[in-house]
Amino acid sequence: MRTRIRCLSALSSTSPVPPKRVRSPPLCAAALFSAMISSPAFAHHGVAGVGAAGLQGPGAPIESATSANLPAGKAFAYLKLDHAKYRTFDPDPANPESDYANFWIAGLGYGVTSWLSAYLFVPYNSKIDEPGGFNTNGLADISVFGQVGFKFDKGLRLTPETESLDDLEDWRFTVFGGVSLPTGNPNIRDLNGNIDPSRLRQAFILDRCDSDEAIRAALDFQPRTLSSPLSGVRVRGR
Amino acid sequence: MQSQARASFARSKTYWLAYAAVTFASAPLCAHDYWIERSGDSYTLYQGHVYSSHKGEERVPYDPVLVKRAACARDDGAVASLEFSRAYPVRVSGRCAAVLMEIDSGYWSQTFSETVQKPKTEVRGALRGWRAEESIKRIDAWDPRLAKPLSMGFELVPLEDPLALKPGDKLRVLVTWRGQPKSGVAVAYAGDARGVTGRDGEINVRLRRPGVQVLSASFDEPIEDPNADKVVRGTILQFEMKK
Repeated sequence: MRTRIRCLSALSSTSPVPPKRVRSPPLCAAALFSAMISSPAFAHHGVAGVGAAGLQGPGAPIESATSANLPAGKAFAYLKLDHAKYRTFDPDPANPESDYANFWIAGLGYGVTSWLSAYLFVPYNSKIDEPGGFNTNGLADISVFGQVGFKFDKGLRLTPETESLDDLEDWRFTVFGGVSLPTGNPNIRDLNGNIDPSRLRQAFILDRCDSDEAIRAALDFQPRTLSSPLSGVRVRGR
Repeated sequence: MQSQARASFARSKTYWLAYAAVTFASAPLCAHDYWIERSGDSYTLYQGHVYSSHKGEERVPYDPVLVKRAACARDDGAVASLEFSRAYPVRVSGRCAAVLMEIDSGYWSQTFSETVQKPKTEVRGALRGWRAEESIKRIDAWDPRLAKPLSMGFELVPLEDPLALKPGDKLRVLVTWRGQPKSGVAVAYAGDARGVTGRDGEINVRLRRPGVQVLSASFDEPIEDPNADKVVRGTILQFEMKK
């Protein structure tokens, strides 16, 4: 296993009115840079994001998080469960199918300063089949984030410690980045030491399939389970 | 749509929490409304609701004895005390870039049914009592020296030329007490609470309307006085936008 650094950018406004156009060179440069470094957003499972609105569920579309920083010296605790109940198609108990999966994410955040926030997200997954099937659970990859906040008020500046209600109408920017630590086990086994048969089937396809198209389809599946947004630029304004 | 709704909710929640906190902290802000009218070199102090966010009598007479001091910041930067008559309304004369008046409104008490201008010890059933000290500063011409306090009292100090701003612009103001920046002070614009000053005693306020601008600030602190539980200090900054 190795540490992965994942990239994705998001651009959004939390304002209900259309965001006004800012012709500031720094903003344009930041937005352009963000767009250039964006990787495809193939989210499948729940992923951790900066801010409460950025935490996704299985199958949910990619959403952008608020660009607000945590106040200096304040902590943030978060616990999220995505419970996915699957439809089953084969009534034969001899062919157990996936029953449900629980994707937990516990998060901790801390406002180091008014413009710098640090986050830690710990995911825990359990995937349960119908009786007689294959059940697994365990930690997934722990994520560590840092978020730097800016505002545009007669120039670009770091988010100040205190602001008036009028200041809250200013454009906000955050640049965030982080890494996921290789704490998850990609070869997790059940209590009997067996590996998930679906992984074996996937390996079989890759090993035995003669069709180039089938191999491509199998490879295309992989990024959907590996990508998550861990760095980028976020914007909001009035 | 879901993300927009969530983000909007988070934003509105933050906004309203901040608004509620600021509103709660600034409750005394609408208690008094002084303003200074200018006619040539003559400045007259009035009290009432001409520039208030809440309704009330346009002009409310006050006891001229309450006015303790008047000062004039001249064009050359010097600050001089002004003489004034003990008649209502209090009027001062001078060629001033800014005029400052300090008022001691004395003791106030609150009962279940009303607020009266008497010490707590003289009001039967008083729930609480306070002493009110106020000041008002009117700026008519800008000089960089006005970016510093004119007195050692409680004061709102614009850090840039407020007369050159236009509606929609933000003005950065400094709140001082005893000549030093004062943090955690609630500041309002036209009666609407806008926030509290930071550790540097400063805050940004957006000027939203044309014409006469009224910014106010207040804070209170406990005092050892049988007649009152605390002293409430308020200050007003008044100027008129030219644009």
